[in-house]
Amino acid sequence: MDTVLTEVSRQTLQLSYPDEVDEVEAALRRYRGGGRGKPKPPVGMGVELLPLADYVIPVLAGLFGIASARVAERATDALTDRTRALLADLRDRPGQVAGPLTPEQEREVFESVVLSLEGKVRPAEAQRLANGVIGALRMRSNGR
Amino acid sequence: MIDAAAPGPRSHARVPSPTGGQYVLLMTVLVVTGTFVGTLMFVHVFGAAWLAGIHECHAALDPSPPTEAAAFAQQQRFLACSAPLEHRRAAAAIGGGATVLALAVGLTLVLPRVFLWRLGKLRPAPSRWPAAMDRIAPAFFLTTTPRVWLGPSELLEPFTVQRGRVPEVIVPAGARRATDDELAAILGHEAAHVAAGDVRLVWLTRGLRWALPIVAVLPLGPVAVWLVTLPDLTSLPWPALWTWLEYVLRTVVLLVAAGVLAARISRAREHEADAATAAAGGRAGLAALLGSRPADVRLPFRQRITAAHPSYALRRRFIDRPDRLPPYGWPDEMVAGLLATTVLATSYQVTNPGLVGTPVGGWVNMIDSLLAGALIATTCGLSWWHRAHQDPGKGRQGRRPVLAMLAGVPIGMLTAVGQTRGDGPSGWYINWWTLVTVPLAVAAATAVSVCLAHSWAPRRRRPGRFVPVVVNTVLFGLAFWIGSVGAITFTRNEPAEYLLIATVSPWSPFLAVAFGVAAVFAWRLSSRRWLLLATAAGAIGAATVARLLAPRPLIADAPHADGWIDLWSAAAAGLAVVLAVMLLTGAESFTGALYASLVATVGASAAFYLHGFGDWAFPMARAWYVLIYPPAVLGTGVLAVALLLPLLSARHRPAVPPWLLPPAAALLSGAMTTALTHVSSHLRYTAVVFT
Repeated sequence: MDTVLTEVSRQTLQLSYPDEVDEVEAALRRYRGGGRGKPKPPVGMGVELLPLADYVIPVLAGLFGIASARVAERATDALTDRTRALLADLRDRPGQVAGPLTPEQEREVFESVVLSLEGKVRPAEAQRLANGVIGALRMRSNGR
Repeated sequence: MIDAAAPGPRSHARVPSPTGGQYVLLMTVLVVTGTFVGTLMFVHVFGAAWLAGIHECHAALDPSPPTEAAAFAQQQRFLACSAPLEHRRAAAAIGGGATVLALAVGLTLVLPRVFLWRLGKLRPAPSRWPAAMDRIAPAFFLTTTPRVWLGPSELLEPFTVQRGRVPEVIVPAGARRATDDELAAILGHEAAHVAAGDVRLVWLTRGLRWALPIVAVLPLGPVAVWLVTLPDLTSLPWPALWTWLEYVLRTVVLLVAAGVLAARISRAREHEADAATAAAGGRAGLAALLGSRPADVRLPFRQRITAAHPSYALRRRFIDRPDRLPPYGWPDEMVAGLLATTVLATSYQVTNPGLVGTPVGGWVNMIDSLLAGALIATTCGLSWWHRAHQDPGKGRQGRRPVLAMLAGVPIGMLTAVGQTRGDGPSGWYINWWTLVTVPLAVAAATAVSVCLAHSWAPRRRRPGRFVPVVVNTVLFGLAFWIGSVGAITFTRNEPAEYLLIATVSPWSPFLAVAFGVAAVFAWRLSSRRWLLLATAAGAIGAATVARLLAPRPLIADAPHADGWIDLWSAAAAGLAVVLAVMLLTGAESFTGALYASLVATVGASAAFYLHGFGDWAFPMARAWYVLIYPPAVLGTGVLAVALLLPLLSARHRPAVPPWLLPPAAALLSGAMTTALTHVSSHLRYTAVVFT
């Protein structure tokens, strides 16, 4: 499942914030490890400034149904069962087999991502990331 | 937005901070503990030879010298004989401290590099970051602009490190999306750390905390070898083993206390860096950064006391406070008292043997006490005096600091690593009386310091560093000296002789001189001078009348009793002034009472002196005693009475008619002089002062 998360996260950031693509691997490690072993500098600001990858990965994990119940619930609130099933297909059988998302489904995903990122990033950033997610899903459904 | 060219308060980077003193205190404690390790190593390697040498010096002495002069000469001979041996012991102790310091400096150079190596490769920063730092650095008076890097992906929070001459600010990738205000706050906060010297101080403290355990383990090596090679475990020397266990426990306690204090200092420094950033114009960005954080989760106790940063909620509240002084509470005061006392009890391992046979060999206690006093002055002293400057009307009684000192100082006496009995030659610095006298003396000095601060602060435009440090160093140095030497006097004398303490102790002339200087200082700070001088005049008049009307005591075996009663009566006149002022006006006029009491004591003493001028063979020599000893007795009395300051009500008191002060002082002065004359036959006297 990590492969799916890595690929879609990279594609999402490539399409929305290309500068931050390099942060995906470390963000995935943090996501898997629950933030343990973070370096704690002695003379620092004490304020964590997370790269966008740290926000995108849990949202994508929720969309694909590979996250904990709490994250998944938040991420899939705005999704219908049909869209969830399509996303599960995209997760397991990417490419033409799963089929493309309809405009309504893309809107559902857009709203779901914006909702999940509420309060974590600025609204404009959330919308840009949501567009990035949709772009990444389109690429995945095209087998790219 | 932070910009050096923008108009705004520039004083934020120049205000001296008491947390700087806390760093000095922490580092001194760790280095001084290293000196004890050096002493232990000396005992391991040269202990037998040292003991044989001391025995040899003892053997050359006459067990019963015929005269006092012979005893004194013999003592000098013993000191001359043992001095070379003792100097070697002191050199070993200094070597222990120097090893800890050298290792710490080495670690200070290595640890940041190791941290960066573990973190990963640094990346070039986006172009707007160095440009922003170029604008921000001059606002913090930085002569070298820090280099800015984009941190590795693993990094989540900005930090500063220094590998060479140029400080380096490492910013995480998440800051790329920061607004200009937020970026200015991030870089401003780090620049504030650089300006305050935190980067070096924090890594040096960390280096010391690593170095001390490494060095402290060394004396345990021979013990381990000795245990392994013991042929028969049934005859284990348990007392010796217990000593080593005690040594390990004390060291662990010290390191834990050092860790907790380091974390507290670190949290206070974060507040200071936030305050400096806000004052330089970065408040909006800082508030945005702290405000966007999720609500704080209540952390477990261990994490709360070891956290290097305060909670977001605390930081948000702090940048909105007008005074911007870092939080400084009773734990800081208690730990400062504890660690300064640790230094008092441990530096003795160096000063005692190191100064034997030198001209200052008799002043070891004074030197140790001044060092401990300086440490209190640069930590608590600065904080109390600066706080008084911010809010002159609050905390005049000093209840919290007095209680904190009463709690911290005895713990410091008990837990100091230097008190371990494993070092053989030096023995214990303390006796049980010290656990009472030192805390009480330090607590009294605390009450006096807080009171003086509240009189001094309103007259100052901005808080300085010189006056608070000098006044508190002298005050606390004397308190530690009086407390530790006083304990010895208490052990050696009966209660009837306690009134003699202030005149037969080595600190008497120093206390008298310090009291004189304090009186001049208090005169400059005081208002209502004529009223206080009238109060002193009342006390002088009452003491003189009571003394002249009462019959002169004639006590067998104490030909100088009359002179002693004069001396104590003069001191009582001054004490009467202080008591009258405290009872009628509370803590408010305590500072004024300091000079008024000295005027009363010197005035009464002069009156007694002039009355009996024709009776003495050496009137000029006696005048010296009249000037020095009554103020010394008065100083001791004032310290004791100052302990009552925290008990005075903080609430608004009904106004007392000013004219009541002189008769009240006269009444108290007359009563005390009469009482002294009345009980004169039950008191003890000595010929020391009057021969």
